[in-house]
Amino acid sequence: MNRLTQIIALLRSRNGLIFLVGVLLVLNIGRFAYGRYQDALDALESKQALLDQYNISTQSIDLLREKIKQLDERRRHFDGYLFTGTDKADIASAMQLKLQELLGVAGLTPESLRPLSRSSGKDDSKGYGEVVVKIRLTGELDNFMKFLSSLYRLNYLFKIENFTLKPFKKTELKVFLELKGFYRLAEAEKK
Amino acid sequence: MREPLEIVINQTGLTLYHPTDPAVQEFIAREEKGIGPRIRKFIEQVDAAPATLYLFISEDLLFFKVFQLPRDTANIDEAVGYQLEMVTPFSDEPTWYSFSTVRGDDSYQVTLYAARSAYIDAYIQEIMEGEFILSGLFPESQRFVNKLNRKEKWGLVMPGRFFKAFIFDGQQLMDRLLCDAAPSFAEAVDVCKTDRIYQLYPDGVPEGMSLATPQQERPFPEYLDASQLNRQRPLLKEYNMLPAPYRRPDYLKIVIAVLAVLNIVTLLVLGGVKLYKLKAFDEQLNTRLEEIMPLVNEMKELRAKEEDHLTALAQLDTMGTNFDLIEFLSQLTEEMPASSYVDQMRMDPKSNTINIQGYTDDINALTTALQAIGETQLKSTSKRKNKTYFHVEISIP
Repeated sequence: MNRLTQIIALLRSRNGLIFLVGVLLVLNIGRFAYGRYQDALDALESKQALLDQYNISTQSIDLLREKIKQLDERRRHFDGYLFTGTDKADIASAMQLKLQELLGVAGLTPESLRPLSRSSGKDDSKGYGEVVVKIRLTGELDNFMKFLSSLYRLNYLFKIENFTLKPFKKTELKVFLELKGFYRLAEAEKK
Repeated sequence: MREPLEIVINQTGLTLYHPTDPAVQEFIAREEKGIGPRIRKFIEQVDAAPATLYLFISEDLLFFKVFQLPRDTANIDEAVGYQLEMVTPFSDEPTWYSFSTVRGDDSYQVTLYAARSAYIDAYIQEIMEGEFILSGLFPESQRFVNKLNRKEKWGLVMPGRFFKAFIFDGQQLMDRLLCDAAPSFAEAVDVCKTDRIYQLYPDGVPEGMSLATPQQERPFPEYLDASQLNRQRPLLKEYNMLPAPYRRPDYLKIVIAVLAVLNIVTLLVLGGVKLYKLKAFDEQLNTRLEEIMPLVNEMKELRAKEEDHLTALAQLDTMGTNFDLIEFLSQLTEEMPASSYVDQMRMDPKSNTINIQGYTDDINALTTALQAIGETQLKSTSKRKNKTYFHVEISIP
């Protein structure tokens, strides 16, 4: 108890207070320095972890480059079979012109050729879409075969969605044909 | 380890004391010359430490004063310096002094020792010329302050020109009182407020006198022998009156200071090295990150491109296969019996079938033949004008 009283008396003196302040100052500086050191260590660990992650993820970059090269090739090939334009109406018009040309070359008589807008919004957002063209025509079977032949050989994708064949007059056919043509919007590609 | 010799400067000369046995002593009169050789001879005689000396001044040569200073005194050293001329009788003479303070509730209690320097200085000069090292110059009362009574209140009675009664609280001198005659033990107890009182007998305890011993039960009935306090090394923590030029450098303090500085420098250097390493590692990481970032960005672009390509190419799967109408018509022409005719052919995209309506002579032959093209179902038949009209449905792959 006497000792404790002496210590308290010592701490109450000026030297005791200076000592106490000094000890607290040293402790605070130590705590501050340790905190800064820990922060720096944490930052370095985070940076190291990030670097390790980058190292792992970039290990397969050569494989990815090769894959992208193949995908580029496939896509270029695929895109080559699509109508390309900046506007859907223009593309539908181009499809009609192409079909008119084929029908004319095959010697068929188109009674009507009408595009229907039936593309889905999802496809449009990716820059791809489709236009359905309904054709009503008359002509001989051979000519119709010629038309189909040239349609299949065409560098543009047309898919036969539906058809109806009926005899017409004695030597001709009346054909109802529903074709789906595919296109790619050029603007979307640029984006 | 050999202890330093204890030398007391008194009015008539010097008294050399054995470090632990005060009975072994030698007196050197003031008039005598060659103090150095005499001291060295005594050192050899008692086998004391060869160079260091403890130097004390007789209490008869010292002025002692107890006074108070206010608690708000900013600089006690300075304040005592100012008080010195007022409280001591040595107004115009060079004075050596030392003091100690005890902090009270309202003030500081200052106990001051002072002496004329001239008389003592001559001795010190001569001793120093003998190439001795002085550990300090203390009042004679400090010879008796050691670890023995550090937690007790005790007193000391010393003879001299006047009898002097010293009151100690542990190792702290609280007061010094002068007496005309030798005080009785009861008077000393009354003054010192304790029964642990030592009396010094410079010439030894007179024969027939009984003294108390520390082993006795308290309260002590008589004085204790002060010579037993000399058997221990004096603490000599306070009242060093030796002026700074004569003082031996305090090597311990220097060593502690050097070690402290060394520690701080080491700490700073270690901290600096650690920081430098962290910084170097950080820079290394930054460099590696800068190197790898183009690859990372390329990876991101490639991933985005891959997703874009895969989404685009997924369109192919949604397109499905194109129906080969030429092949179908060729097969139909080839497989249908010659007596069968087609009126209408229609594709149903929902059920993925081809509906054929027409007429035939042999419906069985027709359905059998059409099985070669695909799974054929006969939907209906009817007889009109001697012909069998049919409606078949062929599944297409």
